[in-house]
Amino acid sequence: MAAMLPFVPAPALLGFLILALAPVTLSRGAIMTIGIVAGGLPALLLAPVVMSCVGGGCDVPTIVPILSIDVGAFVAQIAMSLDPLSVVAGITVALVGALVLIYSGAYMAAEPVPDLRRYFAQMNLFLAGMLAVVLAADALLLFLGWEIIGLCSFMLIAYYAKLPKAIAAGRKALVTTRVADTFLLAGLMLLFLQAGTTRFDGMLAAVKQIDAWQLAPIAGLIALGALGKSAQIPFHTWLPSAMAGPTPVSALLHSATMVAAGVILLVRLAPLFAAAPEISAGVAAIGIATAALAALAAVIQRDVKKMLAFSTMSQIGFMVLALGVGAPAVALAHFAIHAAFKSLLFLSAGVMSHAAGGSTAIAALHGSRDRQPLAFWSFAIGAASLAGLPVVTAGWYSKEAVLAAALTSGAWGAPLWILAALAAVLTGTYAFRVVFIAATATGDIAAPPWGGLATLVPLFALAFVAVVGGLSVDALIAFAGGAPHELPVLATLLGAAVPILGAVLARQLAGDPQAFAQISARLRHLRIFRVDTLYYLLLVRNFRRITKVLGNAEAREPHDLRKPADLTPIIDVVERVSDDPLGRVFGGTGEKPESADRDPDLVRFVGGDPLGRLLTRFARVFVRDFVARFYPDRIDQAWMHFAGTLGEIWAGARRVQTGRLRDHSLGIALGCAGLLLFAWGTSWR
Amino acid sequence: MTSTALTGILIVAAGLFAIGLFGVLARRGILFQLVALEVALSGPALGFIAAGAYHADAQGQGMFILTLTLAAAEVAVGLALFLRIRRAAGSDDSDAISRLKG
Amino acid sequence: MALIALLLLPLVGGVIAFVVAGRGEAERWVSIATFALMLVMLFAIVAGAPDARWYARFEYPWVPSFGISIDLAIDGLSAALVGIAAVLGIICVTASWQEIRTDSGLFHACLCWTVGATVGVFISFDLLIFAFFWEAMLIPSFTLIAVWGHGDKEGAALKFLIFNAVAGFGLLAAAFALASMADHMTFNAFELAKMKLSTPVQVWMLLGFSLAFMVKLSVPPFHAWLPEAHTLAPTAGSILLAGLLLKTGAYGLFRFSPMLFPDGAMVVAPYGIALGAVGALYGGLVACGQNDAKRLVAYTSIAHMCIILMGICAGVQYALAGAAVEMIAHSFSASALFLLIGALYERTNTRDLRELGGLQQTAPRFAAAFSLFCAALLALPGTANFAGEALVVVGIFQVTWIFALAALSTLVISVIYATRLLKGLVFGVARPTDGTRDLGPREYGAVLVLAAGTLMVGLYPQSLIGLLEPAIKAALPHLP
Repeated sequence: MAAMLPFVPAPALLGFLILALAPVTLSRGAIMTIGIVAGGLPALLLAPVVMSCVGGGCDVPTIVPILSIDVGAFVAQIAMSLDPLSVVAGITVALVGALVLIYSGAYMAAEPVPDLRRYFAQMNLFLAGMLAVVLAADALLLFLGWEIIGLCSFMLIAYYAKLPKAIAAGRKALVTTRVADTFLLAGLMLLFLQAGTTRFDGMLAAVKQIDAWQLAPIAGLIALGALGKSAQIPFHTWLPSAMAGPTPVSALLHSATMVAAGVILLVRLAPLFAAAPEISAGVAAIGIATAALAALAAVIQRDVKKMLAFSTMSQIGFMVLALGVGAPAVALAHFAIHAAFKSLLFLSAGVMSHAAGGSTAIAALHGSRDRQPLAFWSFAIGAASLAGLPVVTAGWYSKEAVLAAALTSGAWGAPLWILAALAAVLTGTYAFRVVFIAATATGDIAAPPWGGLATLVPLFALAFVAVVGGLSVDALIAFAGGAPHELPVLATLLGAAVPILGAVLARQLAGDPQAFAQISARLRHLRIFRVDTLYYLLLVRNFRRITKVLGNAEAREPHDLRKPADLTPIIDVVERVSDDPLGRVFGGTGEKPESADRDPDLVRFVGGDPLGRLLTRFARVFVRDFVARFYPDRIDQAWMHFAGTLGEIWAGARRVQTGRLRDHSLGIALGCAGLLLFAWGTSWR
Repeated sequence: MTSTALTGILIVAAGLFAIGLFGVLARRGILFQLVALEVALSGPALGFIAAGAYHADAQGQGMFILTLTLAAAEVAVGLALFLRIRRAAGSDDSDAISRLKG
Repeated sequence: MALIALLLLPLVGGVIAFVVAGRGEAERWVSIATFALMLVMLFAIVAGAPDARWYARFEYPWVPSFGISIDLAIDGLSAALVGIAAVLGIICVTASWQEIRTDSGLFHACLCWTVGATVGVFISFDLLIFAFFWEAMLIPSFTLIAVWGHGDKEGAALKFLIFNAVAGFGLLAAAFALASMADHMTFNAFELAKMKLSTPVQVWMLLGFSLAFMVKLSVPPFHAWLPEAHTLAPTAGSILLAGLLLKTGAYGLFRFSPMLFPDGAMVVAPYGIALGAVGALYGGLVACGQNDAKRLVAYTSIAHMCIILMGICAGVQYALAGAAVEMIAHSFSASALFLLIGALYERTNTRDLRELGGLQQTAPRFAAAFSLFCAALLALPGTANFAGEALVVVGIFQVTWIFALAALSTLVISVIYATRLLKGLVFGVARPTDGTRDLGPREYGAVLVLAAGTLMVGLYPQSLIGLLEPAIKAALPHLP
């Protein structure tokens, strides 16, 4: 059974190769067939493996070696591993991938054929890479898959290649995750040097022998790398912008699978983090901070995809929290359930917004209950699972497990639980707010029902899992090697009350748009006041003073910043600038006019997210002031200047040759005098 | 002849040479440069005489005759050149002929 | 004997190409035949003695009184580089099929002679002969740039010539000094390696050699000749410069520094790593701001060469293996990028990233090729470049972690310039007047060869590392 593992990503890889490289023109139907079949086969191939495991067949991990690399001192092996983690994560990725690809068949049906071909090729490559990450038993295969999914993410975000905003968002994602990846690479390399092997089982076995002071940086670097891919603070700014890609891309990559890759890595290396408690504490802190702040940001979003992006960030924060407190199995369970309901939310939101004319604004979703009842009820089920409605949804069980793990984690248990509960309340708020807005009836029944079996089957399947999956959560946790935590009854009841509280709050907000607008505006300003302006005053303004290298539209900003309350116009002006720092700086003519007539939704690109704004601004400034200084190659200029001075010296030397008799005579006379002097000097003793 | 006398005459000879050299460098007219050259030539000529007298050797005077002959030949050629230059460049300024300028 | 034939083949082939020029496309076929024959001969040599330290050797005393002999030897590393030379030669001919119309005979002769001179550099072990070929590389490549280049080609060619010729004096001076320090004057590298010189002397000699190698390797601040030479050269010229000539510097350092100056190298190594780190960052940062596609790739070559320098100076097995692999990998990827950009320039007459774009819609094969090689540029795992760079970084981690982190930061910067290239070429809107025609079969074939190389080494590095193993082991510092 284990020997089948290397063949699981193979169909997706083959699909990519055919679609990307075959020099024949394929028809629309052929492309879709190849794409969907190639994407669906991994799930089929994985099913028997899962079956064999469920009965307890893979408590002891089986390693399947694939390749060996011999570099003198040691031998690196590329291998895949069959254990509970790979099985659970693998089947999740494969199933969600298959369903999303089926849905894409309908969603992307109107795209031009070459773009469609590119889409399916890249989605299949992504699926192959993600499966490699999940099934890898060694660092090399993991990093290979890791980078491939990063590259595919860039390509797919920038799918609408005619939109500079999409390309800029793709670059932002790639650069941010690359920074995180370098941390990861550094950590893995150090771990490899300590352990002497690239296989994970070998590395984990060697953890005991590594000194604590060396273990901490290794664990810290790996954690930073994993958290960057998972869009946790401070690497989170790329995820909201990544929503510029098509909806199925957001559903697969940026909600269910790729962003959870960091979580999966941390689960696999759990013993490493168990041995480094300070790092684990840091990871838990980042997790809960992201969970809470992202949930708060999600409440005030005006675009449904952005809201779901922040929601993903928040839910992954929960998973990271579970990891930080030492319950990797719980994190894994939540990952699986989250994949189901988050992709469900994205897919149904896609149907609803398509029916609303393509706009993804929440306000445009009014009346979806009547326009698109099936999609609406799928969304509602997904939202309920996200909020964790007690007993009836799967989300309840997995979230309860996370909260339980937090509560029983030791001295910090209670505060963590409270914060997590607050985040859960906010989760319920933002989830149900959209449901209530979409449920309001409107006069116009506009678009005819859209999609066919291709949209309905995935929605049904995911909704089924989102509801029924809850029954399996305990079993899942036990399967993955964790112990279910026992909670006192009070905590359970409070936990049950949390989503209901959230729903009530949502009802209030949905019913009173005025109050909502006021609250959200004040929230934006409040947080801006504290963090953003401070940063601006300290760093950005001083950087500006230092450099005049490249004049830029940012110079529009006024200099008088004595009155903090007047910052709104400044922030708005800054926001209107394009998100592509290098394009802004070096692009010259073509890019400025576009910024003037930006879509208002995109202006609030990272709306309500002060940390994100701060980071984007820092990156922009860094590029403009530091990287831009290197544009003319100064060393080369120095060399050419030197060559130029030689010319000047030559020009000066020419003037000696006047052609006049007297000057030449003078030269001769002086020369003879000099020689005589020299001769006299040689006669000295 | 005593050595002090020799020294004195050689100093005079050097002085004559220096005057002549200064004349070549300082005067712009070709004719005046030729005159100065003559004066400069007289310096070593005097030196030869003095050396011949000091060593009581007649070769000094022989060299003086040679120098005189040389001076005469050089003046002849020099004056001929001066006439050509004056016709070609239109003036007798030695700075005017600088076609070998670099 | 086979080695002399290997050396003479391109030189003679160049002469023949020059002579038969004018009749149809005779000179192109002659050049291709020359390079193909070189490859065949190379395979024969390598297959002849697969496990020996040197696949073949040739010694002929030429001027015994001065100790000059013709001493040629070839092992895994040299064989790989000679193979790359031949393959790139063929690719250059196919790349310039349409581009070169005037004086085509002389052009192909210069191509052959450049390749011939670099082969000479890769296989000679007599220092005077090595220096001879080192300088001989310059003339035909100078001609290539100065006659068939674009823009201020004479200026660029002159700059290239002056920098490298002046630096070559360091090599020559050190070679003569070394030769005269031996008991019997000899230029033979193997015998000079047996000499035990004091460390300060070794350092001075090494610095003389390094001057030539650093300039050839284009390590900042000696890199200034590279951007113009690469940008303004014809496509074939850029391919040869980036794919071959830069590697001669790396090869010289890799081979001769541990062989002749083991102690001196250990003294100088930390400075080498620091210089490489600064240079890699500098090259990457300058590349981020370029608008000319070719110039951008030229600066990335500088960055990659500095990483190779760091690998060689680190002196541990991982780093040396990484440097050797990166040499080969960079040849593939840089040549491919210059090939593609040259083809694009032929069609659109511009290299400006602000004007190009939209290849994804108009020319999907172009777009796919660019995507793959930009992925190689940013060292995506699965490409040979990642294998090389990762090995170098692992090796440097064993020696010092600060510079290892600097090397890792170049990975971040590489993403910025690689996506800049992608954005300028592949994404965006195609101008309506463009109608860029896609890659033809000849160009696509060349791209496929280079892609196959990149991916094969990337996915199965063992294939290359096994070949290079003896050379890597020989380059390790020998502890007394």
